[in-house]
Amino acid sequence: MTLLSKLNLKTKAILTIFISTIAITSLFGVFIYLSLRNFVYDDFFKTLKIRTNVIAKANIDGAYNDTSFVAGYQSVIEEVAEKLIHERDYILELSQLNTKNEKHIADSLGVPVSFLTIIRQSKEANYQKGHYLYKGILYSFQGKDYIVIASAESHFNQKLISHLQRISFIAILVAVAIGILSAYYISKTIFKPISEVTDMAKRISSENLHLRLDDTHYSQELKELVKTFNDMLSRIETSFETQNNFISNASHELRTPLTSIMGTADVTLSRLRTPEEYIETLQIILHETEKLDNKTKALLFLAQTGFNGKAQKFERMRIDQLIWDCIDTIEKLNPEGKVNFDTSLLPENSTRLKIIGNEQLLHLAFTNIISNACKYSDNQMVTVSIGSSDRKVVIVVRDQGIGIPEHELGYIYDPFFRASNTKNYDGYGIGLPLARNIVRLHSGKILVTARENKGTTVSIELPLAVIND
Amino acid sequence: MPKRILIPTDFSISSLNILKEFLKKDNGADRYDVLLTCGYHLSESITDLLFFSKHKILRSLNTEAFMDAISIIRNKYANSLNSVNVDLFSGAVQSTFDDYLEGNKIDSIVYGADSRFNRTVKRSFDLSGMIQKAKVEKIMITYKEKEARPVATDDLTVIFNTAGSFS
Repeated sequence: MTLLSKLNLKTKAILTIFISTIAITSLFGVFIYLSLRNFVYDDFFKTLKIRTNVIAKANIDGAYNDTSFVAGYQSVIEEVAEKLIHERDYILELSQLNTKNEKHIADSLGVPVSFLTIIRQSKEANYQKGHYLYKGILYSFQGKDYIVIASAESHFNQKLISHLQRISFIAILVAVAIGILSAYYISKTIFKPISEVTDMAKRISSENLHLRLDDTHYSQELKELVKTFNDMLSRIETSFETQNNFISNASHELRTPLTSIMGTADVTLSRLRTPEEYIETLQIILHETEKLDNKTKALLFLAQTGFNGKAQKFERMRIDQLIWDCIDTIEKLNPEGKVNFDTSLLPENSTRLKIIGNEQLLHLAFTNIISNACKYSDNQMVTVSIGSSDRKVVIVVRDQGIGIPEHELGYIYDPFFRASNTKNYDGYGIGLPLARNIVRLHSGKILVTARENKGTTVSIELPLAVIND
Repeated sequence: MPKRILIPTDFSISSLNILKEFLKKDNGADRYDVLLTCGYHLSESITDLLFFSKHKILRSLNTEAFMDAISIIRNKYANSLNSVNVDLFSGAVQSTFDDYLEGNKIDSIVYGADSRFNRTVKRSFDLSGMIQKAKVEKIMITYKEKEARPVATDDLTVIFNTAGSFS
C-alpha cells in the first residue's frame, strides 16, 4: 500500500493498463482451456461408450446368433468403426464376479475396485488413469448381466495442451505489446500535457499575475482545467489589486485628519497664544479626531462583517419592523430627508415577513442604504418598497438622485471607492461594501441599478425564515 | 364563487403590474381566479407536436423572477386571490380565442391601457387584437410608472414600480 501511494499517477495508470491486459488475456486463456478440456473428455467418453455397446452387441448378442451374423457384424465394426489408439476391451459376466476375485480382476484390468462397484450400482462409470480413459457399462442380455469395459489412450489431450500453451504464449505476447502501446499513448496524450500545464503554472507568481496559461492545443478536459485556472488567476489578480487599493486608500483616509491635527498643533505651538486661540485649536483637533474615530469604527465594522471573526447573534425578526426603525432613525438624524415606506405589496400574512438575522447589523445596512439615497438625491423623496414571495423578502430602495455613472457600477463595492459625481457630498465609501457584507452574511443578495442623474435603485433580497407553513 | 379573469402576459414582470393595479383598485371586493395567458405559436414540426407538452414549455418560459413576482402579489392579496395560473393560448382566429374564453369560463379580461407587448419569448404573439374583439366584459387598467427606464425583463424591482392607477 505504501509502495502504491508512493508511485505517481502516471506509473499507476500504466501499471494498471499493463496488468489488466495481461490478466484479461490469461483469464480468457484459462477459461477456454478448461472448457475445451471438459468438452474433449466428454466427447472421448462418449466415443468409448459407443465402443462398449458395439463390443457388447458383437460379442454377447453375437454369441447367441449364427456365425454369419457375427462375421457380418465384425466386418462392419472393422470397416466403419476404427479402433482407438491402444484400445483394450473387456467383457466380464457379473455372476462370476464376487468379493473374492473382484480385487484380482480389477488389478489385472488396471482399474480400482470402486470402478466396478459404480458400474454395478449406476450401470455406467468413467475412470481416468494417466492418458488412459476407461468407460464401463452394465449390459443385460437374456437375463444375464455383463460388465463391458473399453479403454483407450486419449491422444487429444496431449495435443490440445501443447497447442493451447503455444496459443496462450502468443496471446500474452500480443497483450504485452498492446499494453506497452497504450501506456505509451496515455503518457503522451494525458500525462505529458498535464506536466506541461504544471510547468506553465509554476512560472506564475505574485509578480506576474497578469500571465495566463495557453490552452490552444489540449483536449477538452484539459482545456476546461486551464480555463478554470485562468479564471481563478483573474479573480486573484482582481482581489490583489483591490487589496492594494484598499490599503493605500485606507492609509490616505486615515492620514488626512492626522496631518491636519499635526499641522494645527505645530502652528499653535510655534509661539505663545491667547486662551481663545488654544480653545479654537483644541476644537479643531477634537473635530478631526472625531472624524478619525468614525472612520476607524466604520473600518472595524467592515472587517468584522467581512471576515466573520466573531459569531453574531441571529434571531427571528420582522423585516417591516426593522425598516420602520431605520426610517425613524434616519428622520431623527436628518430631519430634511423624506422617506416614503411603500407598503402596497406588504403581504397580508406576517409569517411572510419573518427572517432570521442580526438586528443590529441589518439596521446598520438599511440605515446606510436609505440615508445614502437621501443624501445623494438632495433630500428628494426616497421610496422604500417591500414585498415577499414564498421564499424571500424583497426590499427596494429607490431615489431620484445623482445616480452612478455606468462605467463605475463595477467598482461600487470596493471599499473607499467613491463615484466621480460625488465630489460635493461627504462620505468615506464604506457604507455600500459594509451593507453588502451584512446582506451576504444573511445569505441574501443585493443588486444596484442606476442611471447617472436619474436615480439609483437598490434591491435587497433576504431569505424568509419559514418557507412552508 | 370566485370570478375568473384573464390577463394577457408576455412573461415580463411589468405585465404583472396590471394584476397588481387591478387588485389594488378592486380593494378586496371580490375573489378571483386569475389566468395569465400568453399567445404562443405552436411548432409545425411533426416531431415537436408528437412530444408536445404544455408543462414543459411553461417551465422553460417562466423565469424565477416572474414566479417570485407572482408570489409577491399572491402574498399581498392572499384574501382576494383564489388562484393564479399561467397558460398558453395557441390559435390563429378570433373564434378559437372565443372558445378558449368559454372553455376557461372567463368572466372578464383585464388589460393594461398602454402596456406594450414585448416578444421576450420566442414564438409568442400579442393577444390585444383578439381581446378587443372578444365578447366578454373588458376592464382597462391605466397606471403610471414611477420611473421610466429600460429594464431587463427579469428585474424584480419592476413590480414595485407603479405609482397607483387612475381611470
